[in-house]
Amino acid sequence: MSLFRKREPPASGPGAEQALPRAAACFTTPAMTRRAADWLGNLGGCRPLGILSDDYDDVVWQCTAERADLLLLELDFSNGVEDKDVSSRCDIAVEVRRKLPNCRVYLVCEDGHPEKLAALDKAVELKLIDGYCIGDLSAQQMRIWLEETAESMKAAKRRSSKLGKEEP
Amino acid sequence: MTEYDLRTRRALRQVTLLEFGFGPETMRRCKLCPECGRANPAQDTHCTDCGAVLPEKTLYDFYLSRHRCCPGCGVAVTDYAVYCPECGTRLPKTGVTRRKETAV
Repeated sequence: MSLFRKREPPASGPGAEQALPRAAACFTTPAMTRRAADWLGNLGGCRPLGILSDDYDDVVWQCTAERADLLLLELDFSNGVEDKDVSSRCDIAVEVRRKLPNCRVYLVCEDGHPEKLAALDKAVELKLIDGYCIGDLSAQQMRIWLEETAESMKAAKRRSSKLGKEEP
Repeated sequence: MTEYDLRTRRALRQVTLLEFGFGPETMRRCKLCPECGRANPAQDTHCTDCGAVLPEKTLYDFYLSRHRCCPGCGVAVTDYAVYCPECGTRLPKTGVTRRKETAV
């Protein structure tokens, strides 16, 4: 075995955390965001990050600064709340992905609004977001999203290493 | 403006249209009650508010009869459009012809 072999990040131990996806959570209230980040930490398989302000610029800046691999955004369909609807959240998703093309964005929507399904499905079809869930986010659903994120991280790493080899 | 900006702006517009109930997919799922005007789901036969019999046609069928629509995405386009501004599909020619300017 060559001594100069490129070191892979360890699967377990102190360096293992580096390989875990950075999961940012931004819910409609700071209390809910803190709760979601704690829940993600207990769930494991990611490095949680809470984005307490759900303002467009704050979310984009913090995701970019922390190099998030996954972003969870909660929606609020109450009357009179315009900045937390599907299109506003898609605006954030577009800007985050412009800065971090490998970041995956998922929406957490409240139950009881079937009229929003068409817009949500279209957002997934047009690849503005990577997926959404209706109602409470279950541990099983979150694990699926974390697996998808881990897969896309691996694919991005493979792509970048291939490009590095091709360059003289 | 880059190609990415144009593409995402177009995509966001489609999502916004659907979210606020003006998109073709939303209209296909709606029937308007001829008596009280309430929007009902397309599979219903009677209005949930007043009980009146709902028409066979959805709101989109009615919309289609009044507008020239893109066969690809279903949005309304002008009579003179050659390509759909939403999805870029080449549109079929219509019977509408441009009025030639007559020499005075």
